[in-house]
Amino acid sequence: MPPIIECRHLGKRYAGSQEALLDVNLQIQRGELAFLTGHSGAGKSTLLKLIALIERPTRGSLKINGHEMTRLPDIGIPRYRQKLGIIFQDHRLLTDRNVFENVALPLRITGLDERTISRRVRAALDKVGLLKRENSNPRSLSAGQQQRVGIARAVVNKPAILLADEPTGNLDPELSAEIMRLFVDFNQVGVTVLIASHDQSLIYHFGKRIIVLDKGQLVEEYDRV
Amino acid sequence: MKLQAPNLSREHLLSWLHQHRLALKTAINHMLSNPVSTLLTILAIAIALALPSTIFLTVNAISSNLGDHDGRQLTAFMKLHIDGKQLHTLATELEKNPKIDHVDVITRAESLENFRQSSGMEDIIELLPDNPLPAVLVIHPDGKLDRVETLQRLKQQVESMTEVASVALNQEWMSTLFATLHAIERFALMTALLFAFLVALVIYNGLRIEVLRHRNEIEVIKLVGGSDHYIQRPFHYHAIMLGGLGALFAALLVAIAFMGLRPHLSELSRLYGTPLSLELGINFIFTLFLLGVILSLLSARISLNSLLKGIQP
Repeated sequence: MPPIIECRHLGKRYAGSQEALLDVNLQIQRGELAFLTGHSGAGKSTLLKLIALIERPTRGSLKINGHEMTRLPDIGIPRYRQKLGIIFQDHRLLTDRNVFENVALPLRITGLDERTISRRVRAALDKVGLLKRENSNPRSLSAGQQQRVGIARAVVNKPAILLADEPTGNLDPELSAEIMRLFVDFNQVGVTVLIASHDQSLIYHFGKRIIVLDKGQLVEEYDRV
Repeated sequence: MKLQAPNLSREHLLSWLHQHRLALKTAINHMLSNPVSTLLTILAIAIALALPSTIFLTVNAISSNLGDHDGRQLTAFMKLHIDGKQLHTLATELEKNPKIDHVDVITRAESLENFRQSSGMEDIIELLPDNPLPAVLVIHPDGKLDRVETLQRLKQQVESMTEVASVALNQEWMSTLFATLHAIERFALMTALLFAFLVALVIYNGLRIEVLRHRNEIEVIKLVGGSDHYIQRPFHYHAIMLGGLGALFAALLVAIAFMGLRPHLSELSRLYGTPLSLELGINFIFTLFLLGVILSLLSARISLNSLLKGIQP
């Protein structure tokens, strides 16, 4: 089986600026949980954006499950993203609808029937411990709860890959550990998880593979098992 | 993880219908959440559609009603020796011509009687040894013959007949009338094109504001795998409703304009001796509605392609 994520000489240069990512070679195996770490500007977010095809690489190869993604036409991106779960530091929740509708959004896009949507949204909310808040507006939730809604939205479509960009950036250590434990739980049921975080004490605590980026380059890689 | 083509099952169709229902609901919510902006956009579309519609319908009413006016007829004066039988034979022959609708026959005796009644010179007429007036054929051309050149050709054709002494056609009056009507028709067409462009601009601006208001939502939808079609769908419904309602309001404005125009047209009607009626038929309202919807949808499709391109998660 090919690696679920494979980067070869992957690079990204934004127009009118320096290389954000430079010649990254990386393989993530199916069912793996890995942390991307490094200082601010190291290229962690850029790498996640390239994997999610939010940005297109300017050089190199990116293969997902053996498929070359650099040649994927724009029209194929939505279908690809439906197989991903993406979590951001700022949650990106919609405040004009309740928690249930936020989590249901990826399922509505795929066109599932209401009964399936209801069942899967409630299962996802139950998993993150927010089933009782399904009718709440996201604004009425704490930062930790909002992040958990974001995670429920990311996993509700049963993604093969979960990408998280600084998911604990605004949270205190206790809530951060709680969020990380959720990622570990999803990983244990077979989801490949790639988390970008600069919080080294937190990621060392979980004893998983750690990939260190610096100035757009992969400089170190090790397992904390 | 496999990238599969969508299957076209019954479930897929139901899901597609469900998505359209949701998109329609979203579009209605968008409109209701900004009633003032929505109403102003609908009114702008209504005005843009109403003006060329009013001109078009008015010109059309004048053209079709004055088309039957006596000024379009040819009067053929027969040679004096032509008797009643020959006159009717000639009239029957002329009516076979597809350019002619019908022919009225006025015998010499009828001509004299008409003259007697209209001139008031009964005493003088009594003194005349013979009837000096010729028989007349009043030729009514086909309704589609509205060009002076065509009527001229018909006149020449009738004049060339051996029984005919001369043919009269009020060419100056006809030329002026049809030239004016054609100029107004062209003006109406240009106005319609200009206002169609205006409708497109109004839709573009309305959608631009809506897209900006929902920028965050669009970014999130793109992030979780929503296609451009999925994102555009509520905006398409929004545009369709704006265009449709705008067209219905336009019909209302045209009806109001007609109420104001009718007294002025009655004077024109009196001058030409023919009734002029301004009617807003159900067919025209339906056409206007379709036009508003199609124009809005096309504008929305073009606008959204460029507006959404700039929004990335």
